[in-house]
Amino acid sequence: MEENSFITKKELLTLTGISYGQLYRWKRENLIPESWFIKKSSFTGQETFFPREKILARIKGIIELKDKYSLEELADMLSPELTNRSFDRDDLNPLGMFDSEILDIFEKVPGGKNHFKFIELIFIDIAGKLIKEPGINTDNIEELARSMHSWMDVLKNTSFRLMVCEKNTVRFFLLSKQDSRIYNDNGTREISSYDLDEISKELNLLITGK
Amino acid sequence: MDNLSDLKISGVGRMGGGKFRDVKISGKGEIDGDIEAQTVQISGMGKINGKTIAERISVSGMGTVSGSVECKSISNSGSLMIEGSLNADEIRVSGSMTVKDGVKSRYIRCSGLLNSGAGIEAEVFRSRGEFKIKGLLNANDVDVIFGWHSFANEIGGEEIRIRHSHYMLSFIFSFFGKIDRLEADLIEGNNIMVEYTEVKTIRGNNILIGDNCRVDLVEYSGKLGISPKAIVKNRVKV
Repeated sequence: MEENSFITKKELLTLTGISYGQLYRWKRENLIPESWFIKKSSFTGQETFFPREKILARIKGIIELKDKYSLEELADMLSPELTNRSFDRDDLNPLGMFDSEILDIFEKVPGGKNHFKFIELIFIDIAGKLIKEPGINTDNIEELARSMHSWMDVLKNTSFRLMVCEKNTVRFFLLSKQDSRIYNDNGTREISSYDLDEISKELNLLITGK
Repeated sequence: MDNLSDLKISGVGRMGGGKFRDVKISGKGEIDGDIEAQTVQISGMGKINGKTIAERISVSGMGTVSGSVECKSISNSGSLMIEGSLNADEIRVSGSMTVKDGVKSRYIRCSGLLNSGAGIEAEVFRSRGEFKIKGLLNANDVDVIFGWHSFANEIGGEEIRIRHSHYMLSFIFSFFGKIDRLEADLIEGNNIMVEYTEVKTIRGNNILIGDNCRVDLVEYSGKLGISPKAIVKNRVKV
């Protein structure tokens, strides 16, 4: 199962028909995130693997769109997390996805502004999902918004996971790198977890679809 | 930008950072803090303790930047050490340059020594000197003519040409069994030509392996040429 979720570079090129030059170019242009290039040792030495589903979908997307848009525009569309595009309420309201109550909270916390970067939208989206969970109130959301600002320095990409945990009926948030495991004590229970990469992809589709 | 002042250190001096029009260090100068300027010129011994953002940077003496550097163009004919990353549209090196955190550029031309502690990304990478790259050299067009010794963990791109400069002394050295080499773990590209190269794996479409190469594995999908003076252990057509 483990093997099946990854694809080697060689296999990828034969499957998609793209060349090494194209792959390296797209990597340079930020169309394929650095974190998708996974180095593993194999019997022929070291090989590069990719997350199968993600890379195949991304390459299909690039091939479909590359004639219509420039590579820079594509990077803005496919990897807005890496560009500096910001969104205000006029951009967000037509998407009909963000709760205005939650946007208020994110605006009001220290460091909050009335426009949001893509990475901030991911947290706003998560907050929208969280508020529907039982046991989460607006104080928790405010806490998340404040924490988000202190996490900004490390959030250079979206390869992270946000976990909601509970101990003695107190809810708290943990942010961890996607590929690292957290070992919690017996009293702590993981309630839910959100993959920033997944949400980033959903948001991408939504934003670029408009 | 017009109302900005210049910062000049000639002699020995130490100043604070900030926004300037032109920054010139011609003696022994140190700047504490980030600087943002149109031009930065170091012709003596200069040290910037911070991040540097500029249109043009030129170093002909000895320069050190403790943070990262962002600029349109940078030319270095002296010795320059950047402890952060370097992001520049155009890079020209004829002296020696060390960048600890990696380089992102459009055009790089180096006829001196280029050291990078992390990967290098560029559209065009032209080297006529020596380089040591710990990481991936990713460029659309890699054109290398080297002498002595060069190294990169991986080289990837579209057109890759690696040749030896055949300087006079190398001929004499080769009598004593000392052959210059470019070393890499992996070279991948559409069209690849290598010479005097020691590499574990080469993958590409059309590959030409020239004199004095040592290659463990070649995987090619188009044409493959191997010089009789090269050693290739395995070849696979895919």
